Amino acid sequence: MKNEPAVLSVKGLSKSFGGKKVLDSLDLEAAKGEVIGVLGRNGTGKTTLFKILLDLVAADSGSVSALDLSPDGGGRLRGLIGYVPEKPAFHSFMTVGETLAFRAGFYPGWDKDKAAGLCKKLELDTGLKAGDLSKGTAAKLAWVCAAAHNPALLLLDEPTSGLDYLVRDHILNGLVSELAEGGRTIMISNHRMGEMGGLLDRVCVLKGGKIAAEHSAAFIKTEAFKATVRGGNIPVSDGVRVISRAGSLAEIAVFGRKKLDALKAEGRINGADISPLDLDAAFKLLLEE
Amino acid sequence: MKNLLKLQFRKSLLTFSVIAAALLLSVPLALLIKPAAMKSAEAVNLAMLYWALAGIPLTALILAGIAGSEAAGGQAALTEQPLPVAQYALLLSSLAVVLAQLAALVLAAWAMVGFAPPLEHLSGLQKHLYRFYVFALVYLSLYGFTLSYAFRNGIAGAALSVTAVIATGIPLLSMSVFQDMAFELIPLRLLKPAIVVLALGGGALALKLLSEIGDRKAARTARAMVSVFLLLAAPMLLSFASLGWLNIAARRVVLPVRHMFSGYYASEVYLYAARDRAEAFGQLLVQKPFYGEAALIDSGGKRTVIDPGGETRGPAFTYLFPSLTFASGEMLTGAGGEKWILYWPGAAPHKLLRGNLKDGFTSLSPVNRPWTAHLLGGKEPGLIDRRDDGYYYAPLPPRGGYKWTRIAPVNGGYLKFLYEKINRDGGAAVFRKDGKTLEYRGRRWTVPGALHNGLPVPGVALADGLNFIVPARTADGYATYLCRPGGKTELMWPEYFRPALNMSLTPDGAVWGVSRATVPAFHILTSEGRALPGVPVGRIAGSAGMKASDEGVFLLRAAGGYLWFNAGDRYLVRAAVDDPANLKTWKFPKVVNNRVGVVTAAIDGIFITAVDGVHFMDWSGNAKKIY
Repeated sequence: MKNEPAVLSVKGLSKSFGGKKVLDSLDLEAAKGEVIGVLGRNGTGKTTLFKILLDLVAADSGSVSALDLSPDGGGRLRGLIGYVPEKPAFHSFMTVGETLAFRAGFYPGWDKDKAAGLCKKLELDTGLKAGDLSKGTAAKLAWVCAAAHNPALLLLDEPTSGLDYLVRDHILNGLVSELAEGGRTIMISNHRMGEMGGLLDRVCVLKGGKIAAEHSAAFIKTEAFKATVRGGNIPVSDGVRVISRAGSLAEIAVFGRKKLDALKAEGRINGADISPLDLDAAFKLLLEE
Repeated sequence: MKNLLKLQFRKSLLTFSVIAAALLLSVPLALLIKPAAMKSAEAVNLAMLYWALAGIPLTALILAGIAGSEAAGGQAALTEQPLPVAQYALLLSSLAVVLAQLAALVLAAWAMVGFAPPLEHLSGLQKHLYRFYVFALVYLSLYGFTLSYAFRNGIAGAALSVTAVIATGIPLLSMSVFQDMAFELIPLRLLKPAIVVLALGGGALALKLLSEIGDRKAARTARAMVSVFLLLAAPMLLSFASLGWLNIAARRVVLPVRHMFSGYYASEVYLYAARDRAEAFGQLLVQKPFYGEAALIDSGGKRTVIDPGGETRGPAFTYLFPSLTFASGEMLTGAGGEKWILYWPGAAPHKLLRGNLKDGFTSLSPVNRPWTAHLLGGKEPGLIDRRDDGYYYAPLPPRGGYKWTRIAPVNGGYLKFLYEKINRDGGAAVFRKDGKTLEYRGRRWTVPGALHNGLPVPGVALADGLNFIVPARTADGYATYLCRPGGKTELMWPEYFRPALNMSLTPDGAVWGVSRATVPAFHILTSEGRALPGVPVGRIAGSAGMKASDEGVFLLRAAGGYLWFNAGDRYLVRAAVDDPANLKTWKFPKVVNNRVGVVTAAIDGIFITAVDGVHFMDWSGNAKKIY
């Protein structure tokens, strides 16, 4: 976590639906300007966590403080947060322009010029009917709606899910722009965290309703290695994961230079072909933690 | 909020536009298809009546059902819930637009009839429906919206809201009609607003709870769901509870049994000697008008039932309250203290009963006459009956059936029969041929200018014996003279008074009337034979908080230098004869409003037939419930 004051603080957060515990005493903090990736498999509570932060769903227990506010059912918190849902939806009878004008009425910090600029940058036609928007165009509109009121906290729930490369690039560029403006705290959940890798400060792995593990993005980028080893003695331990196995050959991932050096010193990976682990593979392995 | 209202209006614009267009188009359509004999304005009124009774309520259900179910739907969850406003605000904006659209339709229909709907021929029920209309529309919309939101289904919500409105409205209308037709037994003026507040406030609170449950801000616990149910059911529960209250209250109401038409027939009461008065006035014939029971009761609460009655109920919505089985009748005390009761329980023939409180009553042959028959006292008690062709008389007790004899033509000759009967009983004096000399058993009084028609003059039994009150013409108007048993003729008052015409009798034997010549004043002849100067009605009325011009003040007793009055069926007022400032009042138990005769004087106090039974109050204001 950066040495900045906490913009978001979650303590002991629990939520169940119909007897199924989705979040279980979850703790999480985010500093100002921090970009956090929330990694988790389907159904692990990422969207529920976001909805609680947005004051759309009440927690069963625990506390949430975001931007000096706590969820109170009044919707005030949502006015300070930019939110891109996994499945953006708009009133079908409105055009893109009308949708933006409508939303502007709810956010005191709405920046019309910024909204117009984002539309131009994302090649979003404001005359289009919201009901006729493709998935990609709807995602662009969602992004404009989330960013145009200059929120101090952005929650992006699978913002690039199901989008083609071009749209995804547009969204990611928008994200880079927001970061360039500075001071934004961003929390992203994404199945393809690899594409976000360069932007993240930290990755939190959500499993069993808790943050099961946290890693700094720099650590994953610089200290995750892939080693191809021969023979049956695969040294699986903390920080070592099997990527694949084919006969007597196995690919393993080693997290941490110290761990790698220790394995070398123990002679357990003698002759192994060692290379940096790509981000997608690293995140996939982290999901299994 | 403005943004939300615009959004909700836009969402329902198509539906509303279609309905509004249909309303507007119904005007030319009505003009096109109207019968030739019907005026254009009548055709438009008729079209708007259909809209008011069916079209607009149906629109309320459609708009509220669609809006409520949409607000709970997945699309609203995706598009509107992420907005930075509370879910409840979203719902209220949607409901507000439904109500605004309905208001626009009502206004349009109202404008079509020139803001003057033809309401002059409405029945009582229709008038109540008209007053209920706006509330019913709002109620229907609120519940339609809330229940559609709760069930995520517009049809279910609409059907349940109709049920709620009917379940609240029918008891409410029944009670309103009942209290209009009969008595004000429960405070509907308070209950109606309470039901409105419960319906609108409870509905809004239920919607808030549901919104919190819907978006999981509150848990869907059994307690929360029971709270929602109770909030929504509260107006219906209060409406039915009020109806239950009305039914219970109706069964407790007691009224006196009186003849629908009192006439001069009761003149012989003036002739009771003091010793007979306690017997004659010490008991009261009462009835429970919503249960049919009738009984004779004395001041100590001893009673005997003369008709066990039984509750009946009418058809349709009148089934919700007991029918009025109002009975009329009268009672006569015979020479030996026996009672004759002529009793008419509604449509059935008159019953004639004879007996007394101690031993009970025996039913004699039914008198197959309508309410035109009356009891007639004296040494030979009888029945007198006014028919189309004259007055008929039958002596009592009936022997082998009533033997009716025509005694006078219909234009009033019965007085001759009556006064001559009293005269035969020794209770009347007669004028000599000179027209100014009154004679009774050898005693004579001279009354110059005496006004009479040659008939016997019934006497008034005072402490010193039989007195005769005679009005006379004077040079400048009228005067009333009292012919004392000792032979003296005294001028009582310089005004016209004649017993049974404009004078009444109290059970203790005082005779009184009200002069309205200048300032309304009581003129009273006490049973001791003292003719009091005028006692201003305003003095008595004012002590009971009534207007000086009120006519609801009656003398109940005059004795020992004091006068007792019934002021407006609300207060017993005691006034000292010689000290105008000496007034004392006691409040009666609650009597049935707007009913004459609910307070009946006896010798030792007054019977008060009240909404909760019969009370007896003595002359010092001490009341006890006796039935």
